[in-house]
Amino acid sequence: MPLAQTLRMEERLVNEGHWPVWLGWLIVNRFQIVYYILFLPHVLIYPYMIWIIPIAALLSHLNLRALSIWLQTREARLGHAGFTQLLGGGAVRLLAFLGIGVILMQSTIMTLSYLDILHQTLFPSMSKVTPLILLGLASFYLARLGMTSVGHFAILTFLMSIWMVLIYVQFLLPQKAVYEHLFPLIPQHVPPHILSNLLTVWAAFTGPEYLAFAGKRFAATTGLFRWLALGNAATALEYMFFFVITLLFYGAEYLQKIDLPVVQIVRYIELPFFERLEMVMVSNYMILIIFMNAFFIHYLYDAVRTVANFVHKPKSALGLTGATMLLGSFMYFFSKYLWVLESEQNRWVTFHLWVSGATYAVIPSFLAFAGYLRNKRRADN
Amino acid sequence: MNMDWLIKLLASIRHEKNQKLERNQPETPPLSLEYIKQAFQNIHDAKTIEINNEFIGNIALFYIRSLVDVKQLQEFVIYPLQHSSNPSVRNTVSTVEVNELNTVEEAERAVLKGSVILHAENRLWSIILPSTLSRAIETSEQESIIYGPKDSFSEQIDQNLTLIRRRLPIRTLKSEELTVGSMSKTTVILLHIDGLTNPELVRIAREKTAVIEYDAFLDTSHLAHFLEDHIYSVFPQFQQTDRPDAVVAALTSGKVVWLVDNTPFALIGPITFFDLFQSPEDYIHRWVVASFLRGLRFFAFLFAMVLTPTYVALTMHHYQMMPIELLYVLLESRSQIPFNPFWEALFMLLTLEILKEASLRMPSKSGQTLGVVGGIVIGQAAVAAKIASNILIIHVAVMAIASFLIPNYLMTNSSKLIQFGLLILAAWLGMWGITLGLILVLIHLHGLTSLKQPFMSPLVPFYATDWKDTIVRLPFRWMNQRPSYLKPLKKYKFSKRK
Amino acid sequence: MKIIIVLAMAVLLYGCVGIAPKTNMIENITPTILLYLKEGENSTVESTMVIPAVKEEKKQVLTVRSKMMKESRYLLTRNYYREIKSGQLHLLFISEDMAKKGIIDHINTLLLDQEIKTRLYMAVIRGDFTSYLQSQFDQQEGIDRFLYKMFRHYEKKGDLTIVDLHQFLVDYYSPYSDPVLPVFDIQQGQLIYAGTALFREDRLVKSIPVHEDFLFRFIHHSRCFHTNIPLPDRNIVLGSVFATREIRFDDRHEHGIVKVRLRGIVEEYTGDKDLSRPEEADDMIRDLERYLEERIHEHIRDWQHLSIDPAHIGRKTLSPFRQPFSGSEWKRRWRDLPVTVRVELELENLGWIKPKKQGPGQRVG
Repeated sequence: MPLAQTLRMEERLVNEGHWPVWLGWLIVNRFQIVYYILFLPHVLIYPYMIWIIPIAALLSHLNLRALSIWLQTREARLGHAGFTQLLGGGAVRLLAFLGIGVILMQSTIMTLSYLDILHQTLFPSMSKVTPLILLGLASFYLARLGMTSVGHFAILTFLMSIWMVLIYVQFLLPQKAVYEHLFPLIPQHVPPHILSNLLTVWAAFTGPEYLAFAGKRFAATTGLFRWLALGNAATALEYMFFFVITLLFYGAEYLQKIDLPVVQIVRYIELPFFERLEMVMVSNYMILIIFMNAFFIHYLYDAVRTVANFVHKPKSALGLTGATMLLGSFMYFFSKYLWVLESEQNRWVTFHLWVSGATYAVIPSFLAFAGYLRNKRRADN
Repeated sequence: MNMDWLIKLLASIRHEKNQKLERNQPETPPLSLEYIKQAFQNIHDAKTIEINNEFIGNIALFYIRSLVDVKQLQEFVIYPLQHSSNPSVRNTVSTVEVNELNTVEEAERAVLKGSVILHAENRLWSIILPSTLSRAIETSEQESIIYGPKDSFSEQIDQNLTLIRRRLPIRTLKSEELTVGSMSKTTVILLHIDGLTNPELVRIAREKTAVIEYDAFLDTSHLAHFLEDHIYSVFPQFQQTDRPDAVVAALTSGKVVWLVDNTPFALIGPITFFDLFQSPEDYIHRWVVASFLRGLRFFAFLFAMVLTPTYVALTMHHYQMMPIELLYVLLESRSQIPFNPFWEALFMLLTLEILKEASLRMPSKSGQTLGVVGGIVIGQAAVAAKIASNILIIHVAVMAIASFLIPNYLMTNSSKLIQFGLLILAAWLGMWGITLGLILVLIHLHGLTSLKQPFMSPLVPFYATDWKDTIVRLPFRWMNQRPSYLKPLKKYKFSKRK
Repeated sequence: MKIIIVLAMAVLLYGCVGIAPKTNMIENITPTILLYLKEGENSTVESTMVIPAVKEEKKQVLTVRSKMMKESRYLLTRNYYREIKSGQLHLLFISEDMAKKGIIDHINTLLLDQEIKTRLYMAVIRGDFTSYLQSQFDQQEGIDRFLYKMFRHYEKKGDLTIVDLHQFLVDYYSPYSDPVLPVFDIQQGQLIYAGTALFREDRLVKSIPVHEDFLFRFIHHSRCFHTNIPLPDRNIVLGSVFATREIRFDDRHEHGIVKVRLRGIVEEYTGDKDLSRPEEADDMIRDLERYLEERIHEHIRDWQHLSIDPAHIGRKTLSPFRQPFSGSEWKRRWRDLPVTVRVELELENLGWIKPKKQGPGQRVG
């Protein structure tokens, strides 16, 4: 009996390399925590702010619903052709042009922030250009395998970064934790800055909107929503876990003074033959950056091809190299001229917050709505 | 830029060349014994025997003595022909394989494969009587295990096939014969189990073998180099083994096996990264012990790759990472060494590699003495002369031993290269460099394929049931499914669930 | 063709890439583990560091005076032929005078240095530490290492107050607690433990002497272990004491109750009561309980007068759903809050051979 008939279409597509449905939760989870995990407790500070995380997770949950509705439509599965059918060629080119800007900004701010952390923790005397170029090369090395392989790499990324969580569990134990730091959990009065904190936490949940453009990579999209929701829940749990850990260890007032509480906590650990594990931790974190940048390189290449109308020509390695060089040089010039002073950096981080929050809020719902309208029009016709 | 004109030009050039080739090809001569004798002139052991039989007529036998089993020739061909009262040649020598020849190529190939050309009744036959010169069945030197079968393959492909067929006496074990090598004309037998092995794998294997163009194949690894998808990788993409039980285990899981003539090693594919850490001994130990040993192998692989680079990174960049007593010990031992930790480590690693290579080629009589000289004296003298520190010697020695835990011999040398790369990265960028190196290795592994199947299965893509036999080895009773990454047609091993 | 592109890129990139200067090779640096800060004349800071002896080098103590702390680091490095690195700094000692004036600025400077970790042990030194260090060279080369090992040992054991920088800072920043540090005294050329120093914010206000130190630890740690508790006033030495404390408030937080439960054995008793008789033993125990309650109550009142809360009693006012006092309000209320102390003493073994029918645990000898 021919093999093809023994498998369902989903299994066949999975065998050909498409992403299985359950990969969604890993991708969503890693996309979401890539940037904010390190400094989120510093923003939230007070123990009763912990409830903002589930609230933002709930909003994100609804957003993921919209995303999964979009991904189940026919247009999402067609890739670029689907977008053209949905929005029209000109609109797609315009949006791709805006998308180039968004992708460049997101990737740059994320990478440069990581390089700052690296500079601060590990190599104060080394210029930031070297790790920038090496990260770019590593991302290109991953990106050259193709978008589907990059998606599969989410499994390895997850495994290489999740073991770090286990190191933090010891901070829940009474020797290092002061449980009263967690109280009070219910605020007596409305806390200040609650809206800005909500915005920050909302921005911490952004990331999955990029999956909206990868619809054709999934082998099947029925049942995708529960995996996306699982990834979202895992992110929320991780954020809460780290927040609780840092609170237990530092206390609210001290937490205000520390920039990167999640990194600084690791400095306290003393193993028999290793101390100062933050060097290992910060280094390990780089795999998330490489993973995200590989995705961004592909999206950038696709966006440039859309804008320049080269969509019909096949993808080539030279083009991918070009996209990497574009990203790399943008990052280099950005770091040289626009990322120098701390005030500038804070402004860019705020800008990143707003832009990513906006894209996450708008893109899935907009696409889902457009898909719904098109379906209605098709049903009417 | 429109390059159509260039494409047309190249096509026309190619067309011209093909036509010229066809024109230059000589015409094939007619099939005759004289032609054959002339083709094999200047070969001193090409013999001709004339027999006259009153019923059959004049019979001429042509063979190359070094390829033919002369005893069988005498017993089954010459004697019956001399004393036959049957006018048909085929009935006289019916005890052996007799094929009629139609073309000169067939005749040439037959003679070179150890056949005897029989010319009678104006027709030519080939009688297959190859010499059975071979090595006896011995123990495998590369993969010796304490308990378990000890026979291993030899250079005769038929003998190897016998060993396999004895262990798998099923009619669905299919074997296809292919020939590779324009000069060596090596026989390659492709084995798979029909109805179990995914036909895609067999098709890919067959196609890859069929397109090989090279002159001489002397070993399985030469064949493997042509079958590989990624020639620039340091990781082997096929497994080579000379143990028939390993081959049979691979066949029953749903893999494809190549047997190559004149070499005792068989080629197994597709494999994954985790297969390189498995050994037949795992299935002989108790499952808890076997799981522990397997986990130890993975740990040793990582450890061997990372230990010396970590030492270099800590001493060059991250003195804060060491506990204070260890730091003082290192300070004491390093205070009098004139080199950088990086050069010291590089020097000791290179010395170790030189010793290892030399020990392979040393005559066995002087092997032991030189081993003592190399290992102990050089190591001790290096420390005394303050070229290397004690701790580094310990690291290098532990690493060398740990690297031999990996069952696959080709992998040990691969990890060596990665270690050198990590050493350079560690000297340049410390722990961050080591992590970057490991991530690059991971990305590299992620992109590898073996027979077009992903190399990192069952991790990427993730197959949950395969994990029963990857890092741990769970009891046989729980392993009722075949590895999913091979996509076998029959998923369950036990017969009650097909 | 691909190779040419790659090589060209590599050549171009080489210009952009900065090769990391190798600053941290261990043979070129001196990792110090001890730093001593003292108040010098004219409000200068005097820093002393111990240079570890490695093979042919001699051990040294380097002292410099400067106005600012980092400047002192700069001067220290200039004084020695190897760069002094503080990544392995484990001990931070501060002189008593400087502790009285406030230490948070210096600690801040230390924290800004990314290499220093927060697991440093801190202590207040009374006396001339510099000359003590210099005098130790002839006797013990690795004095800094021995001190570090001593601190590390007692951190786990609990007989001395051992505080590291992290705990100090957590207590400093939290409004519900105040930091403490151990005090060491130099007497007759020996460094001896002299009690616990109590801080208000970052200024030293009081030291608890060593013979009362254990009372502080009873209420400071929620549970701790002491090998020996000598109470010479009551002619008794308790041993293997395991102390737990519980702090509660009434509903309106107007009254605090501190309950200390001690469990241990009697190691030595030189009083007149006969502990083999249960009534007298009970008497003795009640008397001891009252004595301890009084002493602890005295200390707590003392702290209330000084408006410090080293035992972080304030933390116990917090509950998951209520925060009755904000930080500043607690400081105000703490001064006048009535506190009751209750001590429960469970002596598992009274040190005498007892008749068979009585008491838990028979001990021979």
